[in-house]
Amino acid sequence: MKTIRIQPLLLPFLLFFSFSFLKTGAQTEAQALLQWKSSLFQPDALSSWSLANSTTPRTWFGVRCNSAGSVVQLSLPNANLNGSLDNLDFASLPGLTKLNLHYNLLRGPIPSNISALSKLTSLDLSSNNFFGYSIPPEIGQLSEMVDLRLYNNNLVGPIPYQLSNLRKVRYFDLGYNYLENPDYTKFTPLPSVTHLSLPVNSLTGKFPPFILNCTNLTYLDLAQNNLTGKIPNSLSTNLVHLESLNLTFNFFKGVIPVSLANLTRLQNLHLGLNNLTGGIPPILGSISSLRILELYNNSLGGPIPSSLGQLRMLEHIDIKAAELNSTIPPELGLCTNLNYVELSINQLTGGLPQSFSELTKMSQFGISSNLLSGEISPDFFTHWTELISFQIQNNSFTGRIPPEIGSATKLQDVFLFINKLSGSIPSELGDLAQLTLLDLSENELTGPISTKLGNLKHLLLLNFHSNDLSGEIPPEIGSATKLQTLYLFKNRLSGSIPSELGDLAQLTYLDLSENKLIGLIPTKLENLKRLKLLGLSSNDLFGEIPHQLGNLASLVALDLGSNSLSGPIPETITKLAHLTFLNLENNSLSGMIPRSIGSMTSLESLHLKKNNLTGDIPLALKDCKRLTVLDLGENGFCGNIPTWLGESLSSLRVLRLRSNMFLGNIPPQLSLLSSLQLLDLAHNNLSGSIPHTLGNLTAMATNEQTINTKGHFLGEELAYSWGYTNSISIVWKGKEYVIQNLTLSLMLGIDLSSNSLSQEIPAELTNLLGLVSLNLSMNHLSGSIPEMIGKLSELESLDLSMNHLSGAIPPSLSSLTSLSSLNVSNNRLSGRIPSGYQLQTLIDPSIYTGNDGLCGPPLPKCSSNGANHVQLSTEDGHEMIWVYLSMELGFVVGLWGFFSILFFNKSLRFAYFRFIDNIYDRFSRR
Amino acid sequence: MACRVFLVSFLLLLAASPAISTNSEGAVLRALKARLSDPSNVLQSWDASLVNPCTWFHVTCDAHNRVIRLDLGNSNVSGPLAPELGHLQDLQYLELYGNNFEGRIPEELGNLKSLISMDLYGNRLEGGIPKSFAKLKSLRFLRLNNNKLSGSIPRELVTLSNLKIFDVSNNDLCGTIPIDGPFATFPLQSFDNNSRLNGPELQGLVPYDFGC
Repeated sequence: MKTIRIQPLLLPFLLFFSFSFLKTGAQTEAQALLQWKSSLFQPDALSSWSLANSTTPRTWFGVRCNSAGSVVQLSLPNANLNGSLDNLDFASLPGLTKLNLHYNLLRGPIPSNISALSKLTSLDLSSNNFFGYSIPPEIGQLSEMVDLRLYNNNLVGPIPYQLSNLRKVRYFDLGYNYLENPDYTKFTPLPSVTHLSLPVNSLTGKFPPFILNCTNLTYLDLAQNNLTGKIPNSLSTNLVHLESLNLTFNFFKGVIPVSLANLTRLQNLHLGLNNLTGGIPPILGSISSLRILELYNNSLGGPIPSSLGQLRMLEHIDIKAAELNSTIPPELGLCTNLNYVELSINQLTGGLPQSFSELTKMSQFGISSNLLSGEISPDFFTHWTELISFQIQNNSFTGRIPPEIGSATKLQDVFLFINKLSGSIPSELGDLAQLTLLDLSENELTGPISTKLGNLKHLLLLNFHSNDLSGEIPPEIGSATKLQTLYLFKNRLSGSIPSELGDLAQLTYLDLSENKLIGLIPTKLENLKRLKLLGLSSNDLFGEIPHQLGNLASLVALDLGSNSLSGPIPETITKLAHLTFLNLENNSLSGMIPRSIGSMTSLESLHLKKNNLTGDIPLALKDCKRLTVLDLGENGFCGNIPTWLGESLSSLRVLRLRSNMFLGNIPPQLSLLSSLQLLDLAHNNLSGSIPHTLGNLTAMATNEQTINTKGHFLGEELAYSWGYTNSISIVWKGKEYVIQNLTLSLMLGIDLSSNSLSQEIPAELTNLLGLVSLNLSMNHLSGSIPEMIGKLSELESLDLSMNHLSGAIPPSLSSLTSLSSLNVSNNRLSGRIPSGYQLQTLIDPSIYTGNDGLCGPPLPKCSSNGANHVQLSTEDGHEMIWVYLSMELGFVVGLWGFFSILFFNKSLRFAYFRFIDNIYDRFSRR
Repeated sequence: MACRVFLVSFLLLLAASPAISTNSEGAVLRALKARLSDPSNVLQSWDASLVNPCTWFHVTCDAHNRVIRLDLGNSNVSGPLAPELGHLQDLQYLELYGNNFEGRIPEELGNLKSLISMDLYGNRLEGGIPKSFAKLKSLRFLRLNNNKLSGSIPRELVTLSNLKIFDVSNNDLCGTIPIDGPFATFPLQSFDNNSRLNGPELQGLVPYDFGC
């Protein structure tokens, strides 16, 4: 960079030097080139540029001179030139016809004095970085220019309209910059241009008008700009020589013009990622030279025209995500040059045409996420010997996987997941030596897993989950040594887990959950140093959890839930510093929580419910500061609920200590858990009063449900890619449910039932406006139901039964319009049951019984209800009274109007008296 | 615990699952939601990926995971009532009062054979009271008041022997008030403010729906 700074001093000196002593042009040119060289940073490629080598540049690298010794070409592509063009004195190189500096590290501006190169026919400055500079309009003065390439330079500003003065230019490439619209009023058509390339720029508005008059164009690329409006019809009438048209990734709308069929030389048509509508014009089938047809990601709709079968040159068709809703026309099987077919994400129906077996050049075949059905023809695999990728997932294909698949020996990716394929998995898959990704999950496949799959030395992914596979996991799988993902969950696999899986050194995700696996967890799994996920839940594994699992240093999720594991939780597991999710629930584990648990500082979810664990909650747990879910329910834990729990575990969203032997008071510090959504302390021996501070639980104090949906409980990767999520049991409307995901993130509830809590229900609980479920039943609570209970507008389930509550049921209870489950039975409540809204739909009397003083529907009427001569037995008694009052009063009031009609209508008069008789009868019958 | 959320697979599971009826009940409710505007997000918990709708807020199931209650009173939702609701075979309580439901009451609600209570009061429903309601043999409470319903009260409703509460006040009904069956016991206030609804029907020589 220093050299640039001395340039003003050097230049006059050199000019003087050249004019005075060196008469020849060659010597002037040599000096100009050397001056530029000296401005570059470490120009190793230019080591031959030296006056010591030669006083003329004739022999210098990249320089070509004419017979007179004058420089005519400077060609230095990919020469690692680092600097700028500022010090290249173009005026000293008047004979230059070709300048190629492609792929260097040139920065700064393109100097405007480049216009001095008046003989220049070819300029290639592509793939440098003139970031932030514009194209100098003076380039437009280079009237001999035939080939102009400025692509991939981060150039900005409008395309200078002066470039349209380049009357001889044939190749014009300004792509991959940030160029904006030229002044179209001054930009005249380029009469000679055949190759016009402006992709990945910032062109806006309608199709550039000047292009429509560049009538010699054979290649036009406007991809990835911001162009709008329709594709002009004149495109196809004017540019009849077009061989390649690329309008991908713009905002073109309207229909695909049928006039495109005029482009009889068109080979490549790229219209993907626009807003085109109105279907695929069948006439496109008449462009017989077409090799590439891309219409993907448009809202085309309609069918795949069978006329496309006429495109006998077609090699590549991509109409993905275009809302197509037809069958696949068998005529496409006539396009025997096809090697790339991508029709995924449409609503295509029917089967795969048998004629496709003629497409013998097929290499990549993708028709996933359609509504296709029928069987997969074995002929595809015997005929498609070039097949690399076969992706038909997420359809409704039935029948067997043809064993002939073993003939397609170049196959790398086989995606058959989410179909209705049945039968067994052909062992011939083991013959596909190149196989990398094999996903057959979510089908109805049966039978065993072939031992031959161990032959697949390139296999990275083996995904057979959610099928009906049986038999044992073949130990030979351990030979597929590149395997990273092995998903066999949700099958009926039996036997034990082969210890050979411990040989899979690259294995990152191993999930064998929900099978019928028995036996011990192999200790050899400790070799899986890259393992992030180990899922063995819902099997019949027994024995102790091997302490060797503590060596799985990369482990993020460990799921051993719902087995028959016994013994203690090995202390070694607490060495797993990355472990986020630990599920050991529903086993027969005993002993205490390891005192070293505090070293698991990544732990977010700890599921230990339904074991035989004992002891207290260890103090060390307070170092697990990321804990969001702590479920110790249904064990034999005892002692107090520690006060530090509220003070230290500030991320807790779920605290479930249900069905243990905790005693003492509920610590008021729990109110510090500002994210707590579910507090379940039911079925313990807790005593004392309910802390008033629970009314401060921030996350429950809002009924703006949107707040709680932010962020799931687990990290994105765990929840989405791996399908792992927290599941929590709650008692909801009198029934136990397991909730997860969205429901879990929205649920706000408190369950303190079946303890020995006493004194009043704190009025502050009515500040928890978002509460959906509140269960305080089976305690010794006294006093009255908080008057403001009606503030809990989201409450759906409320159980206060079996306490000593007294007084009246607050009338505000009737304003709980979401309430669908209520129980206040077996208290000492009195007075009239409020009515209205939901309460008039909660008509089961048992929710109020056992309160001697309660009356009114659905219980018998209140005795203090004054004179009421009609005895009614229905549960809606008080409403029935209305009937009679109104029959008596209402008619008297309305009588006058009625008689006035009777005077004018004879037949009505008759009818009316029959009606009166009727009413009379009705009263006397009672 | 390894509960997996493969959304695409859900539809297939739905078709294959033996508990198809429960799943289809979720689909019914989603059909309702799909047509509604829900500015207060009360339907936010209606997670389509779940096996059944029993943990959705405002939905209650029985022991067999069949939907028995839909409680959306005063929930600030608007839009039409989905005819699909008629598929909730075990629904006992349809509580949709105090919203902005609009359009007609679908005939299909007459298929809710277990229904005990239908509270559609306080909406903007128009059109007639479906004759098909005569099939709701378990119905005890029918509150359609404060809507914009028109036409006559279907005579067929007199066969609803369990009907205890019937309120169609504040609508635009016409014709006469039936007097047979349970209608013998309903107070006139239940029919108030229907400017073209005439006093109890007159049997005998007059047509039932005169003036309508």
